[in-house]
Amino acid sequence: MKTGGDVFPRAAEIAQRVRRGEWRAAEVLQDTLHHIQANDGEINAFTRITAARALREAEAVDRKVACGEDPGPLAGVPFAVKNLFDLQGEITLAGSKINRGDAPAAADATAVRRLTAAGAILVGALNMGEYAYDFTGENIHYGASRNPHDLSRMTGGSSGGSGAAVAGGMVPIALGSDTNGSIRVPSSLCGIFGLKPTYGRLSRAGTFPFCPSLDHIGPLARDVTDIALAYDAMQGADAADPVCTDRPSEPVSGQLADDIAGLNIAIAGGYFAQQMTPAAAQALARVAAALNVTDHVDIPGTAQARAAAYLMTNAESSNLHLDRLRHRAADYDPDVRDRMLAGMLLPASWNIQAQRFRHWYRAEVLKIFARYDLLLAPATPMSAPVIGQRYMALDGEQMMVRPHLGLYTQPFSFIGLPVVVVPVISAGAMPIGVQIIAAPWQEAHALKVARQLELQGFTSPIPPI
Amino acid sequence: MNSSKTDADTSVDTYMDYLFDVLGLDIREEWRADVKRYFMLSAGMAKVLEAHPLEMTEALAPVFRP
Repeated sequence: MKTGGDVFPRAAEIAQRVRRGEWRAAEVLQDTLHHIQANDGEINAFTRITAARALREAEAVDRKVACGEDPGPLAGVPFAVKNLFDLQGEITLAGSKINRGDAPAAADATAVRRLTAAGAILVGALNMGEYAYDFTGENIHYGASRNPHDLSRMTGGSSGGSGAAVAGGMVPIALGSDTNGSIRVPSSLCGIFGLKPTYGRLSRAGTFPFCPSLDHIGPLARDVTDIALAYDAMQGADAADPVCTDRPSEPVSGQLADDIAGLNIAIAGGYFAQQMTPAAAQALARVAAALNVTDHVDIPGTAQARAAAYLMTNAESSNLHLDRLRHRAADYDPDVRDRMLAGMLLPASWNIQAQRFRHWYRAEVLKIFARYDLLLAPATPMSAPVIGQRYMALDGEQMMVRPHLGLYTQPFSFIGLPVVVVPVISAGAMPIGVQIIAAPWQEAHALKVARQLELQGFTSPIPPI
Repeated sequence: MNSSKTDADTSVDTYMDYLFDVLGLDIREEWRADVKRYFMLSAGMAKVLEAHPLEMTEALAPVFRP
């Protein structure tokens, strides 16, 4: 198989050619492993390469093709997952030193099992911010994942390895998790597409939890069609995740070419128009202009929504880590440990108020979705900061990078809305993303618009590394 | 006690010491300043949140459904 130089093919092309017998899955895998070997030393996206397993899976796909069986819609497509997804026989690190002592996972996470059943080939586990409490992609134990567009800059986090592996062309699809923005922030900073589906749409069973009442999983890719293929393959009820919906699957791949002319779209103003750098403002303006969107809508209570998400995350994640903090506090990344210890101090009233506010805010936002199908908002206030940067200036105020890089993503995950991040590239500048936000269960609307933007050139080339 | 601390600092430190003791958490002195900084960030978030009054009937969302 020849993949066209340094540009690794998209998932849809791989699957199509493998299914037709034009390419063998085992050859695609070998090219992928060589690509990873050649590039990951600098990018540091992977913490584990599962080559032996991948070869078994690829050979099984090739046997199916040879026998005339259906190898699945993702036949031979290499993918990798944030290392909080369980992989049978592997230790689920969740970016930590502490978990190194855990037993290997007995089974794959549901999402991994479903992608594999669709013919995709798991090639490894990806770097991440410790226990997902991170927006930077830095990790004191495994090193920072590095942005392929500029190796001195952050990938964003906490799914930093996922963003880097896709943006660097090492895999066409990666899985991440998103509690407050951990798919959307790396998608923005690495210049790729990312989907955070509706809360409960995709099963989180077999993933290491961060803040279960806010945790989501989803795909990252360089192509909207690939996002849709992965998303469709992972849908479905799962009793092993108590919040996973029993709604029937709603495949989106067949809808990407649908007309978007009838969709009402507005730009989220108010809170979302504050604190952004010129780069974020220009990216939002370019997307709005491309879609001919001029309406602005203010979402009341968004500063409170962001604050409530922050408090719930702080309280809930700290509770999950109480025993580890009692016995292994010194083994945490200090930034994670200190935030979790601070979370131990929160009065119950703050967390309860946050949960009550969640109902109020959801009702307010749904009123807006009675008028509009989609909202546009910046994904991050700035493009990728330099690795190690602790503070950023927003509207003249010095703010810590780690807790604040997701200030535009938090309000939407707080109420579980589906969001697609679209990359915006300007000559000589780092990429930055724009969020397309839909009403619950309306992923297809956001993906259709993302696809139209992709056709207009809103994509990101793989940078030379 | 550090004489440069304000009364507010002392109150926060006392609160932290009491809760960490109750929770069985052993905090090293060199961690204290950052833990306190993050706690004060959360306190600031709580202030923002509480600026928006809610009706008594507004329900909890312990298991959220969108």
